[in-house]
Amino acid sequence: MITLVFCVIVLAIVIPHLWVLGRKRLYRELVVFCLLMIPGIAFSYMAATLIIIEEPLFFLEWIYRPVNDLFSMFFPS
Amino acid sequence: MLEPGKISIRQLTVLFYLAMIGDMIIILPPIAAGYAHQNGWIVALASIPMGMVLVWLMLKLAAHYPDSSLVQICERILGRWLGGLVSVTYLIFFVIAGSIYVREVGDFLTTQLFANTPIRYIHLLFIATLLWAIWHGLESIARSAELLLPLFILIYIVLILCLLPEIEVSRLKPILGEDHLWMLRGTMLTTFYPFGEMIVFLMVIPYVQHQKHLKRDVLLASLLAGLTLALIIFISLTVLGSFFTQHNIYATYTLTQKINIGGFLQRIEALMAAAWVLTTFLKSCLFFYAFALGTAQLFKLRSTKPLYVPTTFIIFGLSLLVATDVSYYLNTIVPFWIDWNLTYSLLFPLLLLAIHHIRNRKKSVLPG
Amino acid sequence: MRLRVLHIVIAGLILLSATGCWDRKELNELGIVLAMAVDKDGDKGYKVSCQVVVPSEVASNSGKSTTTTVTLVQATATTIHEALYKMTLSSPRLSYMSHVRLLVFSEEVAREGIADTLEALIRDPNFRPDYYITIARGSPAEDILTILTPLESIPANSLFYSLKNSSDSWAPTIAAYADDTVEKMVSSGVEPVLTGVRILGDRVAGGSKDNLTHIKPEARLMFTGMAVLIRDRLIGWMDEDESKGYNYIAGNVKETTGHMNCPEGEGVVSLVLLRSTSKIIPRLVNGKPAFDVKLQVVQTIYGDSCETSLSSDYAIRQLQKISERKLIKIMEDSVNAAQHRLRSDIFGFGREFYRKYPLHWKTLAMNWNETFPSVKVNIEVEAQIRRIGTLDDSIIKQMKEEMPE
Repeated sequence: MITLVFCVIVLAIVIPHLWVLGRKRLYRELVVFCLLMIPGIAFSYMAATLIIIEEPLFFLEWIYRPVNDLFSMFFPS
Repeated sequence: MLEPGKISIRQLTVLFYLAMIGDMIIILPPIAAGYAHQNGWIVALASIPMGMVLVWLMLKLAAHYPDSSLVQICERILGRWLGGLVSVTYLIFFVIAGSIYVREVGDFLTTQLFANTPIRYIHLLFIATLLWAIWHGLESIARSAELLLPLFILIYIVLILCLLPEIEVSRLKPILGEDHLWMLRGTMLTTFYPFGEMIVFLMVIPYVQHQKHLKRDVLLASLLAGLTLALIIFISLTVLGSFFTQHNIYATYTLTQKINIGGFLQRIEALMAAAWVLTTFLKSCLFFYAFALGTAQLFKLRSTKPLYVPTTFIIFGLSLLVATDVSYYLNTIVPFWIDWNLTYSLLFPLLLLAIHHIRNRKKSVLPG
Repeated sequence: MRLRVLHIVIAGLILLSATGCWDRKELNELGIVLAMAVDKDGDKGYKVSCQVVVPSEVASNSGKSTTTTVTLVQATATTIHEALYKMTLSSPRLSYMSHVRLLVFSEEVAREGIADTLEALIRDPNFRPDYYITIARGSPAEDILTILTPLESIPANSLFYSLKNSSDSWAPTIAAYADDTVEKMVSSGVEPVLTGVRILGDRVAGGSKDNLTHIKPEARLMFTGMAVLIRDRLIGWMDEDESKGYNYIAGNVKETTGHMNCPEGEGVVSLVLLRSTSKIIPRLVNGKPAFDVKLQVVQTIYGDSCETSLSSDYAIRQLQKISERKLIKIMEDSVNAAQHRLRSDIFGFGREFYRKYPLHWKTLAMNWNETFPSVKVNIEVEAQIRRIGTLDDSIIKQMKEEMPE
């Protein structure tokens, strides 16, 4: 049910955009639009239907944990 | 023309002030009290000069390229590919930060006011308003900020004045008694959280009518915003005490609940919550706009408008995905966000400035 | 034109969605709870009773009141929130807790610990922290909520205002707000205190409107005594004088009345205390904590049945000295009771020590309640009697002079 509504909304928004962009011959914009729309639709779909991913900001932790550990070596609490 | 509008310096300062207060007014008291306990107010005050240095650094970078936004500066200094890479990392930061602010508003409203409403619908409303605001351009955002500033100031002053009878300064003792190292870490957090996120203004500065006192005014705005935050932290610590400031997720809302003047001016917390939602809205407007504009400049597009809708979808999705629940947010994101912030607001600008100077020196060394 | 219609339609849609209707609760679906009582029901958990307002009774001006203004809704469950929602089994309305003014615990629950209940209530966003907490003496907590009161149609309001005014004008009363109590529970170096409430008179008759049909009601509610807790468990009670001493030391006394014996002869002088300020000063003596309590009071004479004149400077000074001695005795008794009988630092001596010597406190914090009995407390009072009412000589003195011996 939600998927249906979601699809309808997406199509209702995307198609006029594509039409207008095609009309005005803004092809670069068209490409970038699609480029951004794909993760957009993916994320929004996951949000609307409550699909849960574990730890999406894992890369933050992965990159910065050594930094934080270094820090706590200097400042033992 | 990517952005036809021009905003005046006064509008920029108002936007800067409100955006810097942004979501910090909700989440900074628990953070400051968490690291520095009853000395959170000292930590907040100490972070103001450091934060102003940070802002000054960003402004210096912007002054060297007065007509280029951050993405364009990266490209000019680092070249097409490396600059593009750095820009992409900035854009990822902007979009994730924007969705986190939306999520914060949603969390706040669903915890305190609308307990049964699913958070997606609050996000939907918020993001639809965001889209509407952005669609009308930077100028209208700046003008709305100017219009809404008196409302925010009024609510803030009412809050402070009504809580003055409840202040107990003895809750602040012992002053500087212990745990100095944690206080240092707390200072770092209170510096980089509000001031560091203002790097987003480098995307907006090219569209300001340049005048001589841009730097002075923006630094003044950052000083005022820092003092506003420090005052809220002070009030929170003296009225609620350090335990409740630290462990209450929405300490400022609890502060507004305590207003009780003469038994008749009470229970006005929902009105006060409007102020916090407002400032967070303006901040997320800026980040949304920065992402769309940055992408357009990265790919050298002729117009940003088509990118607004995909950004809306991305932000709507990310705002729900970015944290599975509130405690993940508090335990994981808060300690690591500062490192990310630091990278973007300190390391990269320093790097860019350094490379800029090296290149200039090379140029002046070359004959001709 | 079309654009305008579109704008109106969009505005209408926004209006529909922006009013927060998802979370709506109509007023006639809510049972507004004004007071809550928590008892223990054997093994089944907590028995929660809520005093719910009957809106038609309170709002009606026609005077055809046949039912009481409030009603009691009860439920038993393992946790407080389960009990609150379980009440819908017997009540047509969902309990709405944002207006709770009073929370009553039974002594049994208090002795086991009130932290569980308070934690649940503080965490719930619907509860606001501005209600008073009391402990029921001599009866189950739910009975406290069944007594109707004159002067205030809603008993919870009567208790609330009585406690508020009493704590302002009668020294032995404690009025403990929920957030203050929780703050004291989690802070080291200070223990919470709560008020006690008791039913006087015929409990059964007090629950019906018959209670209000006589000038002197059959049953009354009265605040009595002060409950001393360690962390969240009730340890013991302090009587009127001891709780007076506590209030003086804690600086809670705004206005109160007391009496003293006359400097010479028989008779008593009654004094009204107008202002008092108290300071606790921690000191480190030979590595051990010691405390000075300095109290300053300003008083007025309102009743004088002495034989000697009170209008001379000398007499006033004498009275001041007697007053100081009496206050010192009251406070010392209180400190002794807390130190030796109850072993609980309710005055916050530990907290003051922490504020002045934070590093030293670290070694003491762990077993403060054991070290506390051996701590020396030195009390000083400075009493000023500024005014003596509107008469400069007592009429009783005059009477006695004129009476034939």
